[in-house]
Amino acid sequence: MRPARIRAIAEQAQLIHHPACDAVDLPAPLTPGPGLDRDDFIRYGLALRPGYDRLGRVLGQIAGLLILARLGSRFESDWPTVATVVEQARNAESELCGVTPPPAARQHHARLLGAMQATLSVVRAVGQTLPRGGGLHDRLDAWTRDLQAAGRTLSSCAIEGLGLMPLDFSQACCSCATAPANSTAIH
Amino acid sequence: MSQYSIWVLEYAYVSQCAVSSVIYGAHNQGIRKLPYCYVLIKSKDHIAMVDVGYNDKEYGRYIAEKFLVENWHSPADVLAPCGIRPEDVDSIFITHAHFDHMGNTDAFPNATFYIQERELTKWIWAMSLPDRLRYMMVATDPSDVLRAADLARQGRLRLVQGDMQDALPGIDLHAAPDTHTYGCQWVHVRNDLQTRSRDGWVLAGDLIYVYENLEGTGGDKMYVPVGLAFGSTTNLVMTTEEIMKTVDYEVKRVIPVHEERLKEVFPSRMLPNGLRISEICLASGQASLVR
Repeated sequence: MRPARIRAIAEQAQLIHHPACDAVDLPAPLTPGPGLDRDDFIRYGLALRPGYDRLGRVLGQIAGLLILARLGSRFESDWPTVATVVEQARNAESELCGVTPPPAARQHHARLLGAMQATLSVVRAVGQTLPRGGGLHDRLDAWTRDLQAAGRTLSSCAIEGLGLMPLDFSQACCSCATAPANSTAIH
Repeated sequence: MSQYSIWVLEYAYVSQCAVSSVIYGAHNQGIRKLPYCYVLIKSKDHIAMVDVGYNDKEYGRYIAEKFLVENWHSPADVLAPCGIRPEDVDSIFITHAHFDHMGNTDAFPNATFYIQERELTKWIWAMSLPDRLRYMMVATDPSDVLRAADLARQGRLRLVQGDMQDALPGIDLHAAPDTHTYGCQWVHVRNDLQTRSRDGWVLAGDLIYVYENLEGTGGDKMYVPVGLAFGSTTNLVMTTEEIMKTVDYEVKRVIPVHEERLKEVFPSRMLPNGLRISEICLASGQASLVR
C-alpha cells in the first residue's frame, strides 16, 4: 500500500495524532488524588493564581509588542512601555517563586517556573534592544517561538476548577449564561 | 450577478442564555437559546470567513460546565457540509478579539487574518493594567495574542487601521472603535461589486447580537444596544445607524450571528449533529446547501 494511501486512511480514522499536534507532549493536568491532598491542592492553586494570571498577561503584552514591531506600526502614548512589561514580569517571577508547592506538585511548579524564566528572558532581551534594521525578523522569529513555547507550558499548567486558566472566566463573558448552582465546577 | 455565497454556520450553542446579556437592560426577561456561529463567504476565487470561534481543547470542558455551552464542533466538522476544509480558507476577518470569535486561528493553516490594529493595541494596554482593573480583560485570552504573533511571523496577519475598502473584491471592513470592544470591525459584502451596492450584506459580529438590537423590543422600531460595551453605548447605537444606512435600512441585510431566528428568515437546515446552517445568499451558479 502506498504511503499516501496509508496516511489518508489514518487521517480518516482519526486514531493518531498529527506529528505537530501540541497534545502529544502535554502532561496530565494536576488534580488532587493519591499523594496530593485536596486541601493542599486548593491552597497551592489559589497561591499560584496571581502570578499565573500576571505571567499570562506579560506573555500577551510582549507578544503584542512583537507583532507591532514586526508589522512596522507605531507606538502610542497610552501604551504600556516595555519597562512596564519588565516590571510586571519581575512581579510574576516574585509571586511564582514565592509559592511552595506540595511535594506532589513540585514538577508542576517547576514547569511553571520554566515558562516564567523563558518569558523573562525574552522580556529582558526586548527591553534591552528593541531591534531596528538588520536581523530584526530573525530575532523576532526566535522570540516568538520562545514565547509560544512558554505559552504552551502555561496552558498545560492550567487548573480549571480553580480558575487557573489563560482566559479569566471569573467575570461573565459577553454572551454566556452562568451555570446553575449545582454545577460541579469549583468557582 | 452575485459574486459571493454566504452561510452562517453554527458551531456550538447555549440553550439557556439570559436575555439581558444580548439586549441592554432586558433584566428578568428569561432565557433563550443563543447560537455560537461563524460566517462562510465563498466566491469562485476566494473562501473567506468572518471569525473562527474558539478551540474547545483549551477550556471547552470548563466553559461547558460553567457557562453551559453545548455541542461544540470543530471547524473541520462544521465546514464539511459545505464541501470546505479549514485549509481551503484563504481570508478571515476577525470582528473582535473575544475568545469565542478569535480563539481558533490555529485551525486555519493557510488563511490570512484581518483585525483592527486598535483592537490589538488597546488589548495590550488592558493587559498592562493593575489587577483591580482586570475586568477590562473579560473574554479575552492572552494565548490568542501569542497565536497572532505566530501568524505575523508567518506573514498571515494584517493589522487594519480604520476602514478598508476591498479587503477582497467587494468586501469592505468598517472600523467601529470603542463599541462592543475597543477595536471592533464589521464586514460589508457588496455582492454586486458596485460602490453603492444594491445587493449588500453586513456581517456585524457582536455589534448586533439579535434582531431586537435593530428593531427594539415590542415592535417599537428603536435600536437597543447589545448587553456588553467596553466602549460606549452611544458608539454602539451610532454604529448601528451607520450599518443600517449602509443597507438602506433593510433589516434583513444585517446578519446577527447569535440570532436563533435566522432560521426563520433565511433558508436553513438542521444537521444530524444538532447544528444549523443558514443560507444568506448564493453566488451565481452556486447550488443551495440547505434545500
